[in-house]
Amino acid sequence: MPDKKTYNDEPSPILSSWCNVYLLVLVTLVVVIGLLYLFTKYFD
Amino acid sequence: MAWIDWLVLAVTLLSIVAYGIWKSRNTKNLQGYLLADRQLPWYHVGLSVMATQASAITFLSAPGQAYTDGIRFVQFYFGLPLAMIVLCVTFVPMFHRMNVYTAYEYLENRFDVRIRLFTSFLFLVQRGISTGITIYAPSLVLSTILQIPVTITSVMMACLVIVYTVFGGTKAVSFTQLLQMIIIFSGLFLAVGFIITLLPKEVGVIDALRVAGKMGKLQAIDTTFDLSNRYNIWSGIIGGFFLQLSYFGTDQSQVGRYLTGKSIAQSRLGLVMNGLVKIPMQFFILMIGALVFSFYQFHQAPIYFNEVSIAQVEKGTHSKEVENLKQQYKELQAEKQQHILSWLKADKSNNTSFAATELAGFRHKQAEMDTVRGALKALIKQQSTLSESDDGNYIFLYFVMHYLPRGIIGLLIAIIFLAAMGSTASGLNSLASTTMIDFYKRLNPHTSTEKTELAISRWITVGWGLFSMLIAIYSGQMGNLIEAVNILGSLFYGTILGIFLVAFYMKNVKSNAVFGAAIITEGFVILAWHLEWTSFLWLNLIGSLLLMVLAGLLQSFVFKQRTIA
Repeated sequence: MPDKKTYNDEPSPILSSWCNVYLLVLVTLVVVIGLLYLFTKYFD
Repeated sequence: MAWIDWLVLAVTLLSIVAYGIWKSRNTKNLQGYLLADRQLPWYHVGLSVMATQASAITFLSAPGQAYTDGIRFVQFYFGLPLAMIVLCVTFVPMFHRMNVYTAYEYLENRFDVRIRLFTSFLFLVQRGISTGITIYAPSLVLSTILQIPVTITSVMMACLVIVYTVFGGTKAVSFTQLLQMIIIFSGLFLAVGFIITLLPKEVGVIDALRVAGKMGKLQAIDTTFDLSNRYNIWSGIIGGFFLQLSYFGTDQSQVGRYLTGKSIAQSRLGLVMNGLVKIPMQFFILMIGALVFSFYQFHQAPIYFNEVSIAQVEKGTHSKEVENLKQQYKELQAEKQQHILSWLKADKSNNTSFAATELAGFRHKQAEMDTVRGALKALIKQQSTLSESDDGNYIFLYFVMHYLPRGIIGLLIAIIFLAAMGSTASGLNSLASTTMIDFYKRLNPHTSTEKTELAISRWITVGWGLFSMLIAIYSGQMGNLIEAVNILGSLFYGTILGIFLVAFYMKNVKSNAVFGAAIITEGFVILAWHLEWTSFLWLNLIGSLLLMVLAGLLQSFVFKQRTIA
C-alpha cells in the first residue's frame, strides 16, 4: 500500500481536505441512486 | 445528406483536427508525445477521461439499448464513483510518485519483468480489439449514409484516425477531447429539444415518458439480486466497481489520461469530476433512447432500423414475406397508437377501468409487433450470415437522418465522429505507449535518441491503427457493440486488477506466486464466460478475488515450501 504521507502531500484545492471531496462523491452517488429509484417508481 | 450537412460535418471535423495538431506542434520528445509533458489542469484531465470512455459506441448503442431494453443499463455505472475514490487514494499518488509512463512499469518494480510483460500483453490484446470496435461504430454511420459496404467505411475511418493520432500525440488527443465534449453535449441537447418538439401537440413530455414507462423502458433501478441478470443495482455497484477500477486503474488508455495531470491534485480532481458527472451523463444519453421510443409510439416506426440489411433481404427470395411483415407491422402500429391515445385520455380523466383496458390493449399490440419484428429478424439472419440481425446500433441514427432538420444532421453525425476520434485516438495512443515503453524500450534500453524514439512511437501507432482496422472489419458480427466492448474488457480486467491489488496490498506475495495465479485465473475467467456461468459484470470481481486468493495460497504453500527446501 502507498505511504500514508503520499495521500496528503498535496492538499485539496477545494472543500478543505480530500476526505471531504470523497465524501461529496459518496453523498452524490447516494442521492443520484435515490432519485433514480423514485424516477423508476413514478414511471412504473 | 444535404450539402449543408456535409459542410457542417467537414468544417467541424477539420477544425477539431487542425486545432489538435496546432496545439501539439511543439512535441519534440517521448514525454510530450505520450504524456503531454504532464502539464494539463484538472478539467482537461476530467474531460479527457470522460471522452476516452464515451466513444461513438456510447452515442450509437446506448440510445438503441434504451429503445429496446430500457434504461437499466445506467446501473452499470454505479460502481464508478467508488472506483474513482479508490483510484485517487491509491493508484494516482503511486503512479505520479514513480514518474511512470505506463501503469505496467510499476509491476516490474514490485515483482519482475515477467509480470510486467504478461500484464502489458493482456492489455494490448483487449485494447487492440476494443479499439477496432470503436472504429467500426462510426464506420456503420458512414455505411448507412453512403450506402456502401461497412468494410470500405471501416478502412476509410481507420485511415483518418491513424493520420490524426500519429501526428497529434497525447497533447492533440487531450486538447481535441476538450472541444469534442463541448460540441457533443451541445448537439445532444439540441437532439432532445427536437424530439420533444416533434411529439404530437396533445402529448406532453411527461405523457411521452409515461408511455415509455408503461412499456418498461424507464426502469432505471432493479433491486433484485440475480447473478444471471446483467444489469441490476448489485451487479452495478459491486461488479461495476471492479470493472471500473480495473478499467481506470490498469487500462493504459485511461491511466495515460490522468498521468497528463500537472500534479497529483489535478489528476485527482479530474477523476472526481468524472465520478460526479458520469452517471447523470449516461442517464441523459439513455433517456434520449427512451424519448426516441416514445416518439415512435406516435409516428410510424420502421420494422427494422438498418435500411441496408432490410434492402438486401428484400432483393432475395423472401421479398414477399418481408412485404407482408412490413404491412402487418404498420397495421399493428396504427392500432397501438389508438390504444395509447385512448389510454392517455382515460388516465387524465381518471377513468381507471377504461385506462386499464387501453393499457392492456397497447401492451398486447406491442407484444404482437415484437413477434412480427422477431420474424423479420429471423429472415434477415437466415438470408445472409453477414447481415446483422440486431439493429440497436441504427435506431438513433435512423431517427437523426429522417427527422432532424438539415444542418443539425451534419452536426449529429459529426458528434459520432468526434466521439470515435477521441476514444480511438486514446486507444491507439495507449497501445503505442505500452508497446514502446513496456516492450521496445524495456527490451532495448540503450538504443535510441529522443528523435528516433518519437519516430518509432509514431510507427508503432501506425501498426496498431492497421491492426484495429482489421478488427473493425469483423466487428459487424458482434451484436450490440457497447456490450461487446464491456464483455471483452471483463475477460481480462479481473486478472489485471488482481495483479495490481496483490502488488498494492499483499506485500508478502512474490512474482512466481502471482504469475501462476494469473495464468490459472485467466483460464478460469475465459471458461466461466464460455460456459455462461454468470453475467459478464461479475467476471471482474471473480477474476480479481480469485487471483488474490490463489496468489496468497501459492505463496504460502507452494513457493514458500520450495524456498525452505
